[in-house]
Parts: sequence; structure tokens; C-alpha cells
Amino acid sequence: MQSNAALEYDYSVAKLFTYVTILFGFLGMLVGTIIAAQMAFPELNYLLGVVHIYNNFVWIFRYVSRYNYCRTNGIS
Amino acid sequence: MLVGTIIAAQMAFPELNYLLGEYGTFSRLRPIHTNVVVFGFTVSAIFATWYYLGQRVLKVSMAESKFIMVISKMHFWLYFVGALLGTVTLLLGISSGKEYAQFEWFIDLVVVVIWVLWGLSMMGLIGIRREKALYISVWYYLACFLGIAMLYLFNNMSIPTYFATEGLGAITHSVSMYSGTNDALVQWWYGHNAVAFGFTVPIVGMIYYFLPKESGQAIYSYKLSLLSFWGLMFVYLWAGSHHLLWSTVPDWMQTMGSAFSVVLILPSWGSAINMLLTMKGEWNQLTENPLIKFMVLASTFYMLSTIEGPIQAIKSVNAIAHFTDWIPGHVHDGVLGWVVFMVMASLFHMAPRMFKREIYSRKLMETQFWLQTTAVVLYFTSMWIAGITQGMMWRAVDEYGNLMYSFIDTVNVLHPYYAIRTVAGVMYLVGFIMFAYNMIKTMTSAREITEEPQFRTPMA
Repeated sequence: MQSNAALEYDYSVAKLFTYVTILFGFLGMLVGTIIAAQMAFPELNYLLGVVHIYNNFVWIFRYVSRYNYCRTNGIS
Repeated sequence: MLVGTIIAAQMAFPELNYLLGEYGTFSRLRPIHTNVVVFGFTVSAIFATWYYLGQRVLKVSMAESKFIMVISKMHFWLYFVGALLGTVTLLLGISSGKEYAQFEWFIDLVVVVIWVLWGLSMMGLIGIRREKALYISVWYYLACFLGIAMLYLFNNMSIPTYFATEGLGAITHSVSMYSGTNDALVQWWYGHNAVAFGFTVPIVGMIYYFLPKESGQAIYSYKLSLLSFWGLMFVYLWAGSHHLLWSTVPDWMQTMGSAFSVVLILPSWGSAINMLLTMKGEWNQLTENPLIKFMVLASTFYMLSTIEGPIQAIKSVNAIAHFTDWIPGHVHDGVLGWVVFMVMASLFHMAPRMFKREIYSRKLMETQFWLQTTAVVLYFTSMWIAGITQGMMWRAVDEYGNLMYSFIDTVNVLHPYYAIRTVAGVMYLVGFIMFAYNMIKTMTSAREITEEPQFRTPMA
């Protein structure tokens, strides 16, 4: 069984994990950098601009409710 | 109509008002950051290096066993799906609330299967090995496997609320089997040793293989490696209670945690000095081969971090350091300087041998090295200053014994240091992107090599 010929190692799984290491390394450090920035500049907690989206929804909702109010009153 | 449908849903489920609002917040992102770097980045690097060096030090190819091939492929895919699933649940706010153990019970079950699969493929490969003597690195990977298995199982023991209450409560929620101080003790026994068996043990395993392979130098001392290995195994598991100094944990346990933390300097420095002495008489390689620079810097940061930790674990120092930014400062000189540097060096060493191409760019690697080294220094120095300032301000009293500062005073003072830390984070991240680019280029378009390089990794 012992042979001196160089072994052909199989790196298929090592390669897969290598790709994922790079992917998760990037993601993890990206998020780390974002939260570091959030510590310094708290307004970045709303990074996605979601507060604005949220506020827009509120306005639309108010607008719609008022409109709805008028409409139902107009009909009745 | 779209908006109408949305607001209709909002009328029924008011929480939809915050449709995206919560996902970008610090409280959601912080556990994602820690879990992705630990269970995503580091753990997959442990697996990647194991599947590379395991075969080589055991002198057996995985392809010789169909069983191992199947198990290891299953291991990878289940791991990848599990890691993504874990990340998504954290983003959704499904969390057990224990630091670094946030994954809820159903993710924990997946993690257990992943870990068993790794164990099977590792033990299987060891079982069919040709090289009878187990190289030092193999001890460390085995210790990583056993240590994490034990820690993860015990700390994540919990009762799913839904089943315990016959249908009340969310299916995604669970309650720890330990309570109060006991829960805290188990948690920090776990938390600290996750650092031990995730960030230390397997990374030492990596450097024991990759430094001699890259430099062509034999490990300086076999005896020192034995002493350091068993020292680390025996001492590390007792040190966790240093996270609970000045808490409700019994005094003797706090003292024990402190004492064992200080003793930890010995095995930690044992490994690091063994690495540095391996380079004895070969220091010219430091200027000739950037990969040696990565590894020597990694073991140097390992020394820095393992002297800093014990200092913080001394009760009187901890009275100032506890809960301050000095702690993330300490963590990051360890992980950025030691863990990530060693992982990147390992993957750089592996790439030409796996993909049969030389490293795409040496220049990029050099630039990355200096950029990231500067980033680490900026990170820990800013957090040292921030942490000690914070700790001192919390304790400061005037002549009548009144506290001199309110919380917001510390926030204002710390702001510039947080900004410096952010800059350091951006620099480090840019360095990592350079690494990723260099790796991808190496895999796809660098110059092909016909023969496997013996020691020094070829680079353009």
C-alpha cells in the first residue's frame, strides 16, 4: 500500500470552503465597519433611508385616510 | 394600489409600519457581524485549511474514500445553507439573546449536524491515514472539534417555548435551561472558550503547518509545542469567569478566573515564541516574502493580545476595563491582527497549490499588508484611549463623592475615537477587498504553474 509516488490530493471541498471564507469575511467585515460607523454617527442606524420611507408611508396613509374620510362622507 | 395594499396590511399588522426600519439598526447588525465573522468567516477558514492540510499531513487523499468525499460534500452544503439561514434569522431578530450564541434552538440543531459531519470526515481521514504520527496541527484541529462540540452543546441547552407550553409562544423562541448567575457562568465559560477553541486553537494549528511550509524551516521545538498545547488545553477552560468579575459570581470563582487568565500567558507565548524561533537565522525572508510578513505579524499580534487579555483579567484593572471600549479593542487586535492575518496567509499559501496558478499580484499583497496593519493599530489604539477614558469617567467622583460625569458626557468625549475606529474599519475592509480580488484573480487568470511549489509561494 505504501507508495512513494506523489499523492493526488482532492481539493474540491477545500476550494468550496475557501470561496465561502472570502464571502463571509467580506460580509462580516462590511457589517462590522457599518456598526463602527453607527457608534460614531448614530443617524447611520437608518442607513437604508428607511426612516424616510417610513415617514412617506405615514404621509401617504394620512392622505389616504383623509381622502377616504371625504369620500365616505361624500357618498353618504 | 401597491401602497394601498401595504397600508391595508398595516392596518391589520401595525408592525409593518416599520417594514425596513429595524433591519438596518445597530441592534440587528451587531449580532450579524459577530456571528458572520465567527461562524461564517473563521469557521469556514478552519474547514478550508483542514480539508487542505489534513490530507497532506496524514499523507492520504480524500478521493481514496468515497465515504469521506460524500460526507465532506454534505458537510459543506449543509454548512453553507445553515450559515445563511442563521444570518437571516438574526436579521429577522430571532435570537436567543446570549452573546455569540444568538442562534435559536432550530439553528443550533443544524449546527450540531454540521459539526458531527465535520467530525466524521476528519476522524475518517485520520482513520485511513498513512502517516502514523499525528502532526501538531492535527492535535489542534481535533481539540477545536472537541472543544467547540462540548461548549456549544452545553451553552445552548434550551427549551423551545412552543413545545414546553403545548403551543403557546413562538416556535422560534426558547428559554435557557440555566437561570440567573448560573446562566451567566455557563454563557461566559462558552463565550471565552469560543475564543479559545475558535480563534486560538485552530489558528495555532494553521500557523504550525503554514509557517514551516512557507519558510522551509522546521518547527523550532517539539517539546515547546507539547507544553504549549497541553498548557492551553488545561488552562483555557477555567478562565471564562473573568468576564464576570465584580458580579454576583462567587468570589473564589472570580479569583480563579483571574488566576487562570494570567497563567494563560505561558502556553500562549510558548506557541508564539516557537513560531518566532522557527524563523531564527532566516529573518531575511521577512523582507523577501510578504507571506512570511503576514505570518510573523500574526504571531506577534497573538503575543500582544495574549498579554493584554490577562492584564484585563486582573480584578483591579478589570474594574476600569469592564464594559468599556477597551474590550472590543482587545478583541480586535486579536482577531484582525492574529486570526484574519493568519487565515489570509493560509489561503494565499493554498491558492497556487490548489488552483495551479501563481499569486496574481505581490504588489497588491504588500499594499494590503501595510494598509491593514495601519488599520489594526488605529483600531486598538483608539479603543484603548476610548476605553480607559470611559472607565475613568464612570468612576470619577468629586470631593463629596458625587459622580462627576453623566453618561452623555462620556458619549461626547468618545465620539472622535469612534470616528477613528470607523476609519480603521474602512481601511481594513478595503484591505480585505484587495485580498479577495487578489484571490479571485489567482483562481481565474494568474499565470499557470506546472510544478507544485515546494516552499515559497510563487507570485507575480
